Amino acid sequence: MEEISALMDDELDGNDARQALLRLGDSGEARERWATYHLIGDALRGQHAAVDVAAKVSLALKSEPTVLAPRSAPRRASRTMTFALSAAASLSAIAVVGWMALSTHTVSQSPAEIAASAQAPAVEAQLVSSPANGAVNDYLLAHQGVSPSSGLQGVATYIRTISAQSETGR
Amino acid sequence: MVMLSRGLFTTALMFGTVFPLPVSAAEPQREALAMLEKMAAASRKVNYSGTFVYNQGGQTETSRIAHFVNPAGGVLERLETLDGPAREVIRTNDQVICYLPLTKTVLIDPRGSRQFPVRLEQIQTLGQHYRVTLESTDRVAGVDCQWVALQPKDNLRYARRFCADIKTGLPLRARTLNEKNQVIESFTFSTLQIGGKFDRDLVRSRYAAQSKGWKVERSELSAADSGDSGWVVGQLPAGFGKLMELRRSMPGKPGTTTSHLVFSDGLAAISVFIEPLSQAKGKADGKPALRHQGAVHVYTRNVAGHAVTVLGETPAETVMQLARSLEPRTVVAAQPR
Repeated sequence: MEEISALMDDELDGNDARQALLRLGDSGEARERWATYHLIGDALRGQHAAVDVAAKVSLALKSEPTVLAPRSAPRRASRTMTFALSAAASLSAIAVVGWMALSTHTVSQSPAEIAASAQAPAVEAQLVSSPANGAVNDYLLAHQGVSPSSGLQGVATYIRTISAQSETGR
Repeated sequence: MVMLSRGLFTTALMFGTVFPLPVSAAEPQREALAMLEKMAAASRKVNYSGTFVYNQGGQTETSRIAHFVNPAGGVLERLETLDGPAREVIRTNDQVICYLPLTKTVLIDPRGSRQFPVRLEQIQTLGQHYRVTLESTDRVAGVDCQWVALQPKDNLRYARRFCADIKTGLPLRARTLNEKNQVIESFTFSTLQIGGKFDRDLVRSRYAAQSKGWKVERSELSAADSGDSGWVVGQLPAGFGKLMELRRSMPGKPGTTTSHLVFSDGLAAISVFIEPLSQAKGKADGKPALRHQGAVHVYTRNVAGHAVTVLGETPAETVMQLARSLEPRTVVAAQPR
């Protein structure tokens, strides 16, 4: 457990990391947890977990590069875009997902998805929000017209509808 | 008689000082709600022009605004962005037109908010879901204003803060805060003239003349303006009631029909758009998605062969809860009891 944490915090260098991982033995569960922690760690750092994890995994498991692949592939196939926790998820994983749920404006979407997909789907939780960047301006426009807030603040709230329009074009 | 009254009054005052009468907790809230009513009335009664700063997601944008009303209840407004590419919004009573010169596009929405003013009874019910209080006084754009705070009683809505002109009630600064008390969106006047005479030039479109030949994306309301969409919300977020249900086409999709349901708690509103997957343009890849623009969250997902878009100036969980409990009525009816 400590080694997994140390691995996750990058406290061990590449070789030690591999040794530590090997000491964990052939336990599929431990390996899977290690991968899961990495995925979540990458999500926390806002990195694109899909790329980084694949690289780290292949580096650490150079001697047995195929171990993770068959495990992760079927899970990805059934991926949903919701956070989900298995009943056996550790407390720290719950804390991490809880933290993400509170940080919907700071974490980008894809690593969070991947962090979610590392867990078995069980309980639906929160998606992570990304800036609209003009993608839904037509709906925003129709909505502004019926919202009491528009009645209170006048045409000023329509700035939402045309904000960021220039970035995407139509 | 006069003396007697004065004597009684003095006595009452003295007793009031020594043994304070229990002041109803609702009393300060009533004053605050009265200030909100004044704010709501201001948008229908007060002319103003100036510039305001819009802040969201760490970005600021300055716009010029002019707002004129006439005694018949007509409203004429113009908004023009001053930063970045020029964009303009003209609102004439019920119609809103957005001119987007960069992409040579005109967006037209037939229904503005004039038909949905914040009514008095709605403001009174706000107290059920928000703690409404008067805070300190302040000064914005050289105008003395009074802060009014709306603190939600649950996590289904955002906290709102308005600093309203003490004389007219016009909101000079508006802030929306999340559950961590962080400002996620704000509107602030930086220059303001209140009560000027109608000035046609201030609300005349600069782009209407040159927009001939631009792409026009018009949203139409169907002849059957309202009615039953055939969809039901199993679990409406607490405090939200249905304002209306109508059928419309979305901009750029003429001839199509989208059901538009609107729910509100009196201040925040949630719109639900439902359209057949066959007409949803490229947005329906089957995966649920969550986006935000300022304080507005937008959640899209597919339900029973339809693309569903739910958006409102609420926390993400509120629009998602509503979207998840949306079902076609036939499915509901078919379920065993």
